[in-house]
Amino acid sequence: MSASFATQVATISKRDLLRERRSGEVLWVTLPFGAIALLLVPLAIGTDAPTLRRIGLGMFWVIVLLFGVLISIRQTNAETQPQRDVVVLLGIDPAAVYLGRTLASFVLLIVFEVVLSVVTVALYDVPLVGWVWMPVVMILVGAGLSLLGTLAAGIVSTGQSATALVPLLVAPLAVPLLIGATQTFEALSLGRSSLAWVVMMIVVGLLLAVVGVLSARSLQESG
Amino acid sequence: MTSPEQDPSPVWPWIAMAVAGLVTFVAAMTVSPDAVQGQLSRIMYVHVPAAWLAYLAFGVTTFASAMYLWKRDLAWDRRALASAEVGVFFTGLLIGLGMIWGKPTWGVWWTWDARLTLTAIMFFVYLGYLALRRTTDDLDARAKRAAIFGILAIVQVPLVHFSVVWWRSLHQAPTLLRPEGPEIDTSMAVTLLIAVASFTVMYVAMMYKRIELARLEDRVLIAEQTSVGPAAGDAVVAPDLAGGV
Amino acid sequence: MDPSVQWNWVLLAYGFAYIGLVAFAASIAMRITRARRRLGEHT
Repeated sequence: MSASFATQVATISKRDLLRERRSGEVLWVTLPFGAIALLLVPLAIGTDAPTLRRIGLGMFWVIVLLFGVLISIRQTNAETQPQRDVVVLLGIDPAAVYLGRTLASFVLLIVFEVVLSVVTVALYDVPLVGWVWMPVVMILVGAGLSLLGTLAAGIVSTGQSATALVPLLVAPLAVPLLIGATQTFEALSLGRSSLAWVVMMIVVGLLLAVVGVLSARSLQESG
Repeated sequence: MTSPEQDPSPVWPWIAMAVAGLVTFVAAMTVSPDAVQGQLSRIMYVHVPAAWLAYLAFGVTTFASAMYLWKRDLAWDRRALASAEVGVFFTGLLIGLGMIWGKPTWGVWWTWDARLTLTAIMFFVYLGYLALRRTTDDLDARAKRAAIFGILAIVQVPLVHFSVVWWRSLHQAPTLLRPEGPEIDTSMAVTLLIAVASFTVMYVAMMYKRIELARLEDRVLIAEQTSVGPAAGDAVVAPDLAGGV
Repeated sequence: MDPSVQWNWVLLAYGFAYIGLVAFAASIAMRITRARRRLGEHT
């Protein structure tokens, strides 16, 4: 008797999170990398406080998108072919594998976003206007990016790593997430409603989930 | 039946492209200049067709990708690839022409208006598609992965378009200085139509040749993958025993 | 803007466009020739 779909998803994400706990790559490599990127920007463009305050939130979201995708890549690359074969032989639904990996990426991305947001507020003195929406936006961006990143990593992965290609595929398609996140807070700082941007990001996530689930089986087939 | 390398390679596409290019050039140079933009208005007769083709090529790539996923016929994959490469070319042309038109008109090489920004994003989507195809020589795997990315792109691109247009509408007054100008008189409209029609002919001709190339390159790949060269073991022959075995 | 300066930009635009078109077409033609040659080697 095979496990239910939800159980399969949970098992896969637990496995991926366990791998992360053992390797610690997100915590010790990707996170510091994102943080140092935030540090480098003022070194390059100047430490003028009003300028940093103005660009801080935007820089944060750009770094989240460009560096956060490394989390999804790492997950796919860390897996060996025998490990992939076991999952197939066990008859686990490819859609469950996709959603399970996405869920693990999502959890790690939330951690990534939270820590980097603290770094951003500290270094750039970003005013916390409308930050009651921050958890919502972090969740939407995290979900969208993990859905997109896991799908892109699945498309690219051929057993050999083509690591640099995944960010190239993700970056243009992640533009709605970037604009949605930044415009949400800009609208709030201008006293306008940001509901429409939030709805747009939800639509992005739903469409990505549909494409990801529908292509999961096709991508798992040999070749 | 002759093998592909013996079939003559059709010449008519090259002729069609040359004629189309000539027609556009003559039409663009003989039409009267715009009252406001002067001679600069002639740039639009290559800029607008390039834009039209960039979007047409993208549409064809995504349509062919969907058809491949449905029919699993590699002919559709070749059409998708051909249109993507032609599309990258015309998108690059579009961006370059936009910059050449923009500098004397606005004084800057680039502005962050919705259309330019979207074109730049589209360019990178195309590049990603082409880069993805280089990751494997397995024809079916390559076709499938490229097709799925094509579908992903067509699903996301409307949202990209929407978010960029909406973002710019909040930050920028709509510009009246479009390449076509706020008003367009009849002779200019006719010339524009001629240019667009000629460039469409060019697209069809380029597609024909690019698909021919794709078919040949796929055959080369198959030939290289299945060819059996001389093996070391060929040197070993069965012993010749008197009386036979 | 002085019309002769405008013509310079028009020339730049058409030069860029047409050289690009010829180069792209030539690249396809050369690759076709190369592929046909390689196919000939395998038969």
